[in-house]
Amino acid sequence: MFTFILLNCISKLNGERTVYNIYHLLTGKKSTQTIQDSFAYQLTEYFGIYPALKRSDFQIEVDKLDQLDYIDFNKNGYVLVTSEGNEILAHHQKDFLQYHFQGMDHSKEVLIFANSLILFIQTCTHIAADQRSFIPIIDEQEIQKHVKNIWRNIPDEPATLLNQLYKELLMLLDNFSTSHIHMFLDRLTSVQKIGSTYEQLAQQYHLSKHDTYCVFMNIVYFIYMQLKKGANYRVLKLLMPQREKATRLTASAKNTFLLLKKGYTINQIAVMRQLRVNTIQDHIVEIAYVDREVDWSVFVSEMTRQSIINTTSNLQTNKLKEIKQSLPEEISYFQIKLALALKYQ
Amino acid sequence: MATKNLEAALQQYFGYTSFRDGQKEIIQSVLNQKNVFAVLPTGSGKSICYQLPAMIQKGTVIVVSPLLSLMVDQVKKMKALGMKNVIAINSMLSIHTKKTVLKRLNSYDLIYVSPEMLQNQLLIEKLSQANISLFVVDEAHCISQWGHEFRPDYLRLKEVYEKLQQPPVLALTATATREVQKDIMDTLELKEVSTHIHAMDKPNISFVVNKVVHIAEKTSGISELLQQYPVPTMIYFSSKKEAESVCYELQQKLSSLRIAYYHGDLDTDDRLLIQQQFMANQLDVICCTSAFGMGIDKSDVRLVIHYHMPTQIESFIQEVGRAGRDGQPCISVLYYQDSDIVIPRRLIDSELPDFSLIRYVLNYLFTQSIMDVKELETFFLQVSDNAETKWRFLQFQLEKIGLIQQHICQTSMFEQEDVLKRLETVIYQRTVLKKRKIQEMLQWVQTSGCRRKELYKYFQPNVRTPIHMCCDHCDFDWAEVALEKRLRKEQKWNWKDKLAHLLLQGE
Ligand SMILES: Nc1ncnc2c1ncn2[C@@H]1O[C@H](COP(=O)(O)OP(=O)(O)O)[C@@H](O)[C@H]1O
Ligand SMILES: [Zn+2]
Repeated sequence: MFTFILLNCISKLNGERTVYNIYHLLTGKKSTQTIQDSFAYQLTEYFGIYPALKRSDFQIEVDKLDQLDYIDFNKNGYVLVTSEGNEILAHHQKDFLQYHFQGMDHSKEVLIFANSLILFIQTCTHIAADQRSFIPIIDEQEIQKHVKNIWRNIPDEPATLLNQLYKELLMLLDNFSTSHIHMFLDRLTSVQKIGSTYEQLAQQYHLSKHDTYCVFMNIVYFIYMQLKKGANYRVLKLLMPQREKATRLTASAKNTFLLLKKGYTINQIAVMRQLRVNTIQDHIVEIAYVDREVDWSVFVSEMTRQSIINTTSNLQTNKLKEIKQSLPEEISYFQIKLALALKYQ
Repeated sequence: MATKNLEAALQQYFGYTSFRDGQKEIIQSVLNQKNVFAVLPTGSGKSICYQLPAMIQKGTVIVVSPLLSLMVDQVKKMKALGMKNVIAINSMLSIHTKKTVLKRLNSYDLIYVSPEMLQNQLLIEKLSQANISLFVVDEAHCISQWGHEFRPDYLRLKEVYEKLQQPPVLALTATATREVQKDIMDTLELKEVSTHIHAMDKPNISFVVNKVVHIAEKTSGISELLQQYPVPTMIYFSSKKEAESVCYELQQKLSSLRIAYYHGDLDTDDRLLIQQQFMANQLDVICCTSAFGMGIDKSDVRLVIHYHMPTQIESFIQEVGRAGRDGQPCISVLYYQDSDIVIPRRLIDSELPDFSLIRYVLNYLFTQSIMDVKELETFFLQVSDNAETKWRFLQFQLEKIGLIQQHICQTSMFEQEDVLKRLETVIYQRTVLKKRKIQEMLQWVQTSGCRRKELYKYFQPNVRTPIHMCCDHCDFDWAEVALEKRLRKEQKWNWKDKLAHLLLQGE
């Protein structure tokens, strides 16, 4: 599964980016460029789905694709899918219908949800079996607090909860292939058994540890998206994190945003925050992806914006340099980036 | 407190019905406000010796412990048992949490601190205002320059201890040669100490050394052994890479056994899973580095195998100490091949900076009269390929001579040549010491005498009679080995049954 995701990303990047852009995408790096690219190349679903991915592991996977001749690099060092690679992709086209990732909008919440589900099952089964002392399998404080809070506010008996949860999972999991369901269940920890690591799953099911991670998370995304759509699974719903729609802004961009809303200009903000004008402009592009309220015409007039959009679609590219060269001199990179960002509002 | 009450308290807080050897005497001395020095073998329950006093005494107990994971585990365990006012303060805590914790120090019964936190002036100040009833130095052998795990951070203990107005001390360790014992007491200048030194030897273990000609014989030997005795087993390695590769090889050869590896590079999720799988008997064999085992208390490990010889006797004793905690017979098997001797030497080199690196870094440092420690650290890590152990060593040495003060390096008062000489001398001395330790270990491997007597001679004059076989030089015979084999039962489920089983449905 991971291989297809990689190939899919590479294919969509159209030979205009390096593999590291994909790494940043998958790990959800909060940078203007990464956010911008994921919109421009329609890769938002993969944004931040795999924050724990190590760079060295990522490199190994890329090398594997290279050795299989599925990918190639052009003279700029940008990565491309070869015809062999495209065949593989075409062959597995319908697999993508089974992918439920929605990273850009939900990666943070889904990760919390996944870990909460794991810890909740561990907790609930232990208490139902009257074993109150156990070592939480999820170490993160945030998750432990979240689950404790849920626990405190549920009136039901553990046995009732487990029965309900059983019914809910029975229904939801039925949408997946048997092997995927087995992997999902093997990852979970209960009083009956400790879950497997992704590497152990990989050995057992003859996949890579990245595949097994993606298989697990794919199911979690599916469950989460069903809940978001309003499906009424009573117990699973409890596990959804409260903190909805944590904004995607970096901390620094948030500060810029506050000043912007107070009416300061870019230059003023740069002076106040002792940052470079370029940096503030990057923040503003970042903000443009998430906020509708700001009057963006201050930075890029409606007419300029329109001509940037037209040029982009004529050129069929997202390469800033090419776009810039085809536009009048006075239109800045900042304005181009901003116009591209506003396209996705 | 009367004896009966102590037992009642043990039952109330920890659910144990009786004390283990040594615990009660130590706790009584502690409650009588004495300074206590205790040597207790690994797994004998050292932590109860301060955890119980923390619960029944007024005031706060401070525990300095070098192992982050260990203290976190202990805190979790206590919380799970219902003791809520305990906390571990270490560099991993967020600034925000640290702040709130500092504000309410007095509300804790027990506070674990890592030694590096003792550099934190604010923490020390707050601690000195708190009502400290007991100052515990866990793994006290780390204080000693002669100890096998000397930690520069631990030398600050004395200073801190004085700032806290010298509350009663409890120094605990599992391994301390007589030399080290004296060093610990001298360093803390403890007077009127009540000492509790318990026999280190383990009557239920048998010692075997297997010398092999070719490295490959190690894995094949281990594989045959495990085939014959599929029992809970730990295999120790001195390299992460080999722990992994031998693990894969054994998995291939022994498909009926469940084998995993564990080392410091695993992420937290995987560590927790592997540890608990082993505890829950879902794994039979664990290929690990010394990172595994701290805080693990599986009672029925039957076989501890050393794929590599440890760098000192003390580590070896600690590692074989994880076998047979339930008192049942168990076996230690160490594999040795002549070229193994280079590995511990290499490990030493990886811990201490070499002279050329020191010279290079000092050249950089002395170009400026003032430099922030962070800058020097960054530079050092860059040119040394991120050798953090080496950096900590250098930082401590520079602090010791006063070149680093309050996170600033000031070179103007020093001659570069003097500093260089000094560092070289220290490095030389430490290297000599470590080599001596390796030599001791090697002697044990090569000995023709009784391994049990030879192993413990540094710690105590006599050993007890073993309950089963002694060692390969006395009476050991594989034919006599009767380790209870464990059969694994595995069921093939369809997914719905698997889910039902997992969630306790319909059973
Ligand atoms: N009095 C006792 N009765 C039963 N179990 C005990 C007792 N004291 C300690 N234990 C258990 O023994 C194990 C080892 O204790 P620990 O303090 O971690 O050992 P050490 O630090 O000496 O290696 C723990 O699981 C602990 O709960
Ligand atoms: Zn003997």
